[in-house]
Amino acid sequence: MADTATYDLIASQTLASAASSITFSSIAASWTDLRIVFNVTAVSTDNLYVRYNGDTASNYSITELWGDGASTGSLQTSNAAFLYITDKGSITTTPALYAFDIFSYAGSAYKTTLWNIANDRNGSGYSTSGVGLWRSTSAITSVNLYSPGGSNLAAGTTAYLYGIKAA
Amino acid sequence: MPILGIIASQISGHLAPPSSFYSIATATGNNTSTIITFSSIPQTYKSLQIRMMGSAAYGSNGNTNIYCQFNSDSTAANYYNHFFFGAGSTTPASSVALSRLCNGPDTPVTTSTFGVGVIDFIDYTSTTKNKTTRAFTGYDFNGDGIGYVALSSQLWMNTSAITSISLVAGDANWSTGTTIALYGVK
Repeated sequence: MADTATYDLIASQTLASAASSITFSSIAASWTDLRIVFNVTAVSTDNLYVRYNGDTASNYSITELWGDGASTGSLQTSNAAFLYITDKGSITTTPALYAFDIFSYAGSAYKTTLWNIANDRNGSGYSTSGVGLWRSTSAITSVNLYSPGGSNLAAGTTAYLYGIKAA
Repeated sequence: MPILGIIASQISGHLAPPSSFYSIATATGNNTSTIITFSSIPQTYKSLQIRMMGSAAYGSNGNTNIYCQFNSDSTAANYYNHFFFGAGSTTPASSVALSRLCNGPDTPVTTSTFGVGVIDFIDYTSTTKNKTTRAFTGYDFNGDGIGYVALSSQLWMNTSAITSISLVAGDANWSTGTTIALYGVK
């Protein structure tokens, strides 16, 4: 078995001031999977959603599992206009880590994404694992993480886009 | 070099040198076999990772478990598995013990939808430790009650170095479009 180095940092961003969204666009079809890591601090608690290729149609759905120390739960959405990542958002004092794996993002099948959220708040907080479907056979060329309530992604929020290429 | 556009405030995009993450091999399904095996795995990494997009048996909506076997060991008593999962309106989280099971992507209902998963194998070359792996898997079919996301742990009670990994689809052949990639981390 020959091996080939991969897991390439494609791009990164750091917000110097609050913004409502972070977008990676013009993503080349050079890899097999994408991995995106966001380290988000909030201006105010808000939901966080994801869209691909700017698609605002009802082509998204998710299944999610979460725990907050006191309880656990699972939810699903269907025919949504975005990937419903969380309604628990981030807070102003501790960062939340969002890690997304987007499989075969340039392939011809529908696009499935796994994600984890880690957000401990020193006595509260939550952890979430989710899977989402974008019912499109188009290659993903842009990813948009956004806060629907406005400019709630605080300064210092970082985002890293990696590409992983299979042999 | 790919051209990448970045839309946001405050841009700092760049390319970086390759990391210590290596693509070793990729296998695909073709509707003829329930087993995909990576054999003669190099012993030159610290850990392994499998990234998979797969399905077995279109349209059944069944619960096709994905079994994970090492070094061709098919003895059920040598494996153990725990997992918890979310499935929307069904039991939010649970755990069960199952032998010889790597709980993985489940059966899709269309040829365009696949389950996905990431499985990590740590210290796979050790000859003194039993092997513990973890998996993060899921699928979603637009909220029709059969979406599933799971975090799981698997134990192989054997101290041999892992030289082969087989992923076994429980109910049917791996379908066309299934892609399973093996990576090594140095």
